[in-house]
Amino acid sequence: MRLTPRGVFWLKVVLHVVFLLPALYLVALVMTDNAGGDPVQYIIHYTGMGAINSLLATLLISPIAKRFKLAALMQTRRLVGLYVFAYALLHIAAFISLDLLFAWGLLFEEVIKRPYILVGAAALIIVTLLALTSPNKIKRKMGKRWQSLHNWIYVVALLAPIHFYWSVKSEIIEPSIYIVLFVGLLFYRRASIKKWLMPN
Amino acid sequence: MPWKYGFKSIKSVVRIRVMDKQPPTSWNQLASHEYGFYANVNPEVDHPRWSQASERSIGEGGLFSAKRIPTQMFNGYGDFVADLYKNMDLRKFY
Repeated sequence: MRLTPRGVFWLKVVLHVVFLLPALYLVALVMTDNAGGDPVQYIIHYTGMGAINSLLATLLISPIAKRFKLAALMQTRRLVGLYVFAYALLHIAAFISLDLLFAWGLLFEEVIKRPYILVGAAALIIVTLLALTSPNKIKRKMGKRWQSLHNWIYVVALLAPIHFYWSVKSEIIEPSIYIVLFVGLLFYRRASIKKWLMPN
Repeated sequence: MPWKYGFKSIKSVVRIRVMDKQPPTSWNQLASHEYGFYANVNPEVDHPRWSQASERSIGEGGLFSAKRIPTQMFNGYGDFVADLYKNMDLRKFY
């Protein structure tokens, strides 16, 4: 099987639809009063899951491309990665605006006091840096440093499921499954991670 | 039990049994590090995952017109129920 440039284009269109639809669905749920007893909590959880699922999809692209020898598939990875950023941004924006209602002092205190929020904040900062350096122009300018910066996605792949696991009260099965999936995807990359951590 | 709203608490009463010992409660069993037996919200003590000093009321007005208000001890019913808990260390018995 081969992916033609036209095929890549349509695949990108499909991916945009796949990642935009859940956000539109959330808007519809909230507008029609179907987002549970506390829509704010619902929105925060929903967008958080959107971010973690997009992250899983991002990390699946290169294993799939390698397994099925579809090098052109790699051209879709930035798009999916930017949806991780978009959902993470919605997640934190909902927390700050709808839940804390812009009580910045409280936000500051919470980030410091609650390890799970600190872990999430760290992941968000990394993802933001990756999104800001994602345009081709910047990538070219950064040269070798671009790859070493973008390897930090491996750190996010650990921080995000830990943040999820830590944020629930007792239903730990789902976050545990995510931890296993992410560790599996990192294990698949153990060679390149080793090279990144120990360059010599 | 209006002074308990907002915590893992009683939603309806079907039967009352008088016990000689403190019985196990579901949320205390599920997450004992987060939920005690009495299920009281103490604004002076943080829940492990969030501050209990202030609260956002649900269902009043739209999503963007909500307000954060300071949480009151015993949800504002202290005059009626505080004596039930007198001489208790409310940091320990919550």
